[in-house]
Amino acid sequence: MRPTTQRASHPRAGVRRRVVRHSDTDAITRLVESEQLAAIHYGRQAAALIRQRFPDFYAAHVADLRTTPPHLLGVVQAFFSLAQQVIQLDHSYALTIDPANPLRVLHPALSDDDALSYLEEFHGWGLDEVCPEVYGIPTEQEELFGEGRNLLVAVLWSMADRTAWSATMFDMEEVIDYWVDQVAISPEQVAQLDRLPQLERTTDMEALCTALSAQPFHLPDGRPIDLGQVVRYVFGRTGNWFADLSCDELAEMSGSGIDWCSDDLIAIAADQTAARGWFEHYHALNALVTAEPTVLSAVVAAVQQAAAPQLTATPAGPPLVVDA
Amino acid sequence: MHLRLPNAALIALLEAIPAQPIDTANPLTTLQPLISGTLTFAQALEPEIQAALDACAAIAYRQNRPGRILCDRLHSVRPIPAPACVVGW
Repeated sequence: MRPTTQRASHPRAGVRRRVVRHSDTDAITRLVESEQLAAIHYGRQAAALIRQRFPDFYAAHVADLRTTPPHLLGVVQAFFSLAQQVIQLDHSYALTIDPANPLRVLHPALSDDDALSYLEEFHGWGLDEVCPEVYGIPTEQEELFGEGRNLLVAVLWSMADRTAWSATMFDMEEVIDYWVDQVAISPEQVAQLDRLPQLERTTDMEALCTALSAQPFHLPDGRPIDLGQVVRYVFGRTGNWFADLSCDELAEMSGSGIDWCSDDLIAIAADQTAARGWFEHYHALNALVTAEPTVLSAVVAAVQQAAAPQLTATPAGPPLVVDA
Repeated sequence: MHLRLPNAALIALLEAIPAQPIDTANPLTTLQPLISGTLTFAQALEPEIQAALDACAAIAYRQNRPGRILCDRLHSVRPIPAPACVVGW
């Protein structure tokens, strides 16, 4: 007879452990993949965030609430309502947010199925589905330049087309040719676009913006504008995430960009306030340059003057003032 | 049974491997009150609930089961050709 091979004992031999039955495994798998458990996850996450960031509200209104589907939705809505008391949010129709009264949205009058349907909107992204408001220049050509919109962007991008800040995603000659041919812009604007000067390739755009910021640009009504900051905003170079990023760019990113557990919401609010200020300044100036060719000429002249070669010792001239 | 997959028979064989033993209570029992909405949020945030949820995820995704990675890979592998189709067989 051949000798039999001596086998080592199985490593788990003699160890008594409880085995999960196959039928339970199926039930667990169905549960894990269910919308209901996803809803429970979002509700727990929101409750934990309220407990961490808004402990008084949690103790008074959330801790003893039952984990029914409407309350799972309600807790998510309450969290974002409380968050929007601090920062500005962009959220879907699936949520009802009320920063003035977060308690109101904590108890939605919905059936379990309806509440779960609303929570399905978060599938895949969870609480990252809700993003902060951002104020950057759009990146879609039609949205940005359609129907002659954002003349100021087109002018500045054209002037800087040879510099290191060139907006390479667009062919500015093509955009302006399209405007001249297809869009109802005024003859004065056509003439201005035709003779737009171009900055030298070696222009230091940061230095140009600094020079522009040093001399306030006065609007016809006397209001001063920081033209250097407007230029930085137009090129997405403010260094402020909320001013340099557009809604469509944020939508392409994975997640909201905010860590709800650890980010400083006060600091975010301050950045958003600054970004919104530059957004409003840009749009006010854009409206003026679109309506008044003399204002556009003054802006172009200011940028040219700020880009004058630093090698010459000639000091910068007085700020341009456009008569009302 | 993954009837439409090219390696359905092999995948079914691998999935028939007995479940890994775990030494915790059935997490479904722990989670039942949470699922039925009878827990409070304070109770739902207790560590035991998180542990039960983690155990469910580990079982459902079979992270510790032998053959899981192989199963995943087999879903995208081209079918094994019949012997008659292979030159030299």
